[in-house]
Amino acid sequence: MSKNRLLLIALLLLVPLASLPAQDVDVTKLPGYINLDKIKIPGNNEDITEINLGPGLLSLLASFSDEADSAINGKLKGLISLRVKSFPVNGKRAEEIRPIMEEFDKKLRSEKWEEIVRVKKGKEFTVVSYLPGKNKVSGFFIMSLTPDEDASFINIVGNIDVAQLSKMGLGISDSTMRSIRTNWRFR
Amino acid sequence: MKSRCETYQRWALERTRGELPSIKNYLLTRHLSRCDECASQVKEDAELACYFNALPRISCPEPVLQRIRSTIVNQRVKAADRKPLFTPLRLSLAASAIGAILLVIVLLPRRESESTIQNYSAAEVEKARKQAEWSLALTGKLIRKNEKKVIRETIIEQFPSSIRKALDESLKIF
Repeated sequence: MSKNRLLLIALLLLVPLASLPAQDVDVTKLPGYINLDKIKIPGNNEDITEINLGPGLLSLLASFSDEADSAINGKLKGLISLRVKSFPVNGKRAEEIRPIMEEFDKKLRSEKWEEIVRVKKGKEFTVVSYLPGKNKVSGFFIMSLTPDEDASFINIVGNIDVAQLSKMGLGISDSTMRSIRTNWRFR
Repeated sequence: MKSRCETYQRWALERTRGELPSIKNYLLTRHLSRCDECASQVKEDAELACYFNALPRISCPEPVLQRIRSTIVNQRVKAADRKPLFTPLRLSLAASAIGAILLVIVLLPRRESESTIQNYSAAEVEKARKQAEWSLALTGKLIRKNEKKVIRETIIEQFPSSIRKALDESLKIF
């Protein structure tokens, strides 16, 4: 088969491929994703916050440009998924959650997540980590357990660049931002 | 073998074809008188050349020559007949295909976002906005709270205890 025929066939194949509708992003396959389904919130808990925002809603929110929304919209650029589970815990419940947290901790270490903060004092346990991608942050994960108070798990998946990270108002200190930048430089 | 010897052996081959300039011929003769390795190699090459020269010369049979000639002529004709890869028609087809692809790529996200907007009600969008805001606020609060805790613990507890330990160790030395 001659070269020009191959070229034409390739072009004709590309046209229908390009016109296919964009498939929904499978968040579970993305590197920054942490499966929070393992955390079962007991039904008798009243003060529960469970948030699950997928790529559709987040991109929609980020695309709005009216003034009322602009403050939050600017913070959502590059975010693909946002998941939160937060609930009050008593001593017994805290003991049940601790092994799950340790399992998450192992996963974070094996997948080379970088820690921003780690607090392990008595029964209190907090880890704030991010997954560095190529010049981007691919994921954020926060797990925090304060016995007899509350437990919170937050997983943000996205392609967040350093400028965007500062805009998100996460209160990351300057020294941590510097270390994130340095980390990117050496990847 | 030295690279210089390789050069002289190449010159020796050129000399057998009668292509070596006189100055090079002089240098080669001088080298061969001093280098046994090159001298024996040149001698072997000369013997081989003698054998080849001794072979009977047979001219190529005419039918074979004709076939070679016709093959060359056919190839030239085919090459002349072959159309260029990018004729104006093909170029315009390729350009329109590329244009269509680009157009689809540019227009697709808009079409997608329009359909996404239709999928959610205003109340759902408003709720999602509040949830996103709350989530980011909680993330920030947890990061700030724990960063402060780490700093406080480092300065108030770990730092003085390390100094105290270091002082204790140095007192033991003195």
